[in-house]
Amino acid sequence: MFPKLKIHQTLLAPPLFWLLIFFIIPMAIVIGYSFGLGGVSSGASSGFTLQFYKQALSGMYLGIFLKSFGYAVGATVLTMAVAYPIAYYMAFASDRTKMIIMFLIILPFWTNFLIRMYSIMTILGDNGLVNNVLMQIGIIHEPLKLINNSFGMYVGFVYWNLPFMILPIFSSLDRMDVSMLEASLDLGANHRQTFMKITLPYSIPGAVAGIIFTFIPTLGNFIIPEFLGGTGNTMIGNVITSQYLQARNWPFGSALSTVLMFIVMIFISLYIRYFDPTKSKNMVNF
Amino acid sequence: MLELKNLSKSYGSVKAVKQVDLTIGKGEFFCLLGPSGCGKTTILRMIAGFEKVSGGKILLGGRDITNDSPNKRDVNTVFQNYALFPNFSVLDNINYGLKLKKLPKSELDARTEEVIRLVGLGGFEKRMPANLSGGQQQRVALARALINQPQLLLLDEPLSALDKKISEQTRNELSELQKKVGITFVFVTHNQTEALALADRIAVMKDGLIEHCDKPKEIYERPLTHFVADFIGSMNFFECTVTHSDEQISRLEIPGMGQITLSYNQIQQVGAKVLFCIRPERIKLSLLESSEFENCLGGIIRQKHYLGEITKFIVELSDNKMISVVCQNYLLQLSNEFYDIGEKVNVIWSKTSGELIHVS
Repeated sequence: MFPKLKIHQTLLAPPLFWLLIFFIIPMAIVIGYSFGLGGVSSGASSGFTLQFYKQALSGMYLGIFLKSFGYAVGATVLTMAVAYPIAYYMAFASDRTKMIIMFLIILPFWTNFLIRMYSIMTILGDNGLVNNVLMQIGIIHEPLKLINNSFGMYVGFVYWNLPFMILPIFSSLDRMDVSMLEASLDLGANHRQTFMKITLPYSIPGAVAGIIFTFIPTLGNFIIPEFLGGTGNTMIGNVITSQYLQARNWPFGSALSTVLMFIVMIFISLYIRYFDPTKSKNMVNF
Repeated sequence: MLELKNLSKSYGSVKAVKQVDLTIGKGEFFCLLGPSGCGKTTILRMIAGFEKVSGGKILLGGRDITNDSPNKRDVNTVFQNYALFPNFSVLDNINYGLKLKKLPKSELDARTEEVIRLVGLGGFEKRMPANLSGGQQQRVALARALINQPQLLLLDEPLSALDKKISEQTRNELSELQKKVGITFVFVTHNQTEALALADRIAVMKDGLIEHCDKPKEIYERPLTHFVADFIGSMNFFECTVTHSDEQISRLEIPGMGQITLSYNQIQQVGAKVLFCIRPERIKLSLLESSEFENCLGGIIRQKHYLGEITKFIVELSDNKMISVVCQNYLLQLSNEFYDIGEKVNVIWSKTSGELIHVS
């Protein structure tokens, strides 16, 4: 290990201060509100109470939590299904192809998120590109409902999460020594067995990181349901937003947020427990 | 057993292997030797099936395997970097091949145990590859390949990643192991000492071609080409002209230095330009004149390197020609001969020493 120097503490001070002001204090405020400790400014009566948590875990809201959870799981599975082949192809492609794909993956980040959402709406809308083309060539006679339903929402989630899934899987596969695959073939395994026994286990740490990067932001996402989900597809993020902005029931919004945070923390803890990213091997033993 | 017929490999316009013909016998320890980029590893990878063949055929035990995929060939490989599976224990690495064959558990266990004993890895079964030394990893790679009892074992510079002592020890073990299992070994290396020590036969390669293929002793003592003579060990070369040749001797004129004689049973064409080559250890230094059985040239010692068991001298002959001479320190001490830089000496060698290479 490298020696700890005095200057480390000095250099750490600004980020620590930043975290204190913009992370720890706001979080403390949110948790405080959720127990009804906010006073008049919070938009509700003061005094310690658990009623907001009771409400957050009551039938309707519990349902939305579960539904959000379901969407996050579904979006993660779909993203994985799309991302893995791309990452695999990329890892074993030539350096030039790698560069090109990497560029294409990063390219969307150069455009504003709202513009990208609107362009998805234009492409998938009733008069959008997809429906127009399909009607022109006569496959369908009336437009398909591609947005304002869960399909549109999944498209949005997969689109949004793809880079965060591809890159960690790619980076774990890319580190893989090709001679390991040759060794497996050499010892009598066919390509499928080699993939199952060697490649797949090797990519698991990357895949798990990708799942974390996909699942957690999706669970709390409120923009994609808003744009592409239509009226029937409310996720917990939307409820929290509306509690803060429309209903102005900050304590209840805070309680929902805290529950969400708690759920996320469970997943992160599981991740660290089984796939500790700080352990040098970055390998899983089954 | 293994036959390469007209085997070639091109990468675009670059010809890595040029129509190589080679037959390797059953149970032979065969070595492909050459500098990096000579095509030796490409040949190995084509035999293993990792590289597609551009032309020619590979036959194993009479069967054409040219287009078989690697898992269909009765050939196993020990990789240069070992390519162990990092997420499998030593045991799981070793019986990887057997598990795929779905053998009954009793046979699987028996063979695994046997091969672990063979390479001396007992007690390490539960370890992960990352927790093994280089030498131990090498044994795992060897065991993993041998357990399949292939017809042919390919070894791609297996000793190059080990430090010198371990490498020498492993070399001896490898040689014993090969005799014990009787499997044909094809060993690729750029290290001539390894090749000379291990191989039954060596093929010296250069630029995708086999320059000389023979027993180590022949390769060392009767190299066929300038490249082979230069690549294996060290060699002094003299460009010269044949002035006389019969069934017993050839006389050669070295321009600016005089005549030398060589007992040589091949008749040379008088007037032909040839390359006379002689190993540094075949030459001795002396203050005296030579006997009639010896050749003698005069020179001045320019450099002296003490190397423990030997001393290496660089001697300047006439015409600024530098040659190297190697003397056993023990013999120098025994005969009380001590030479120093700047001293005038005679370099002397027996008329039976040296070899002729034809210059094309």
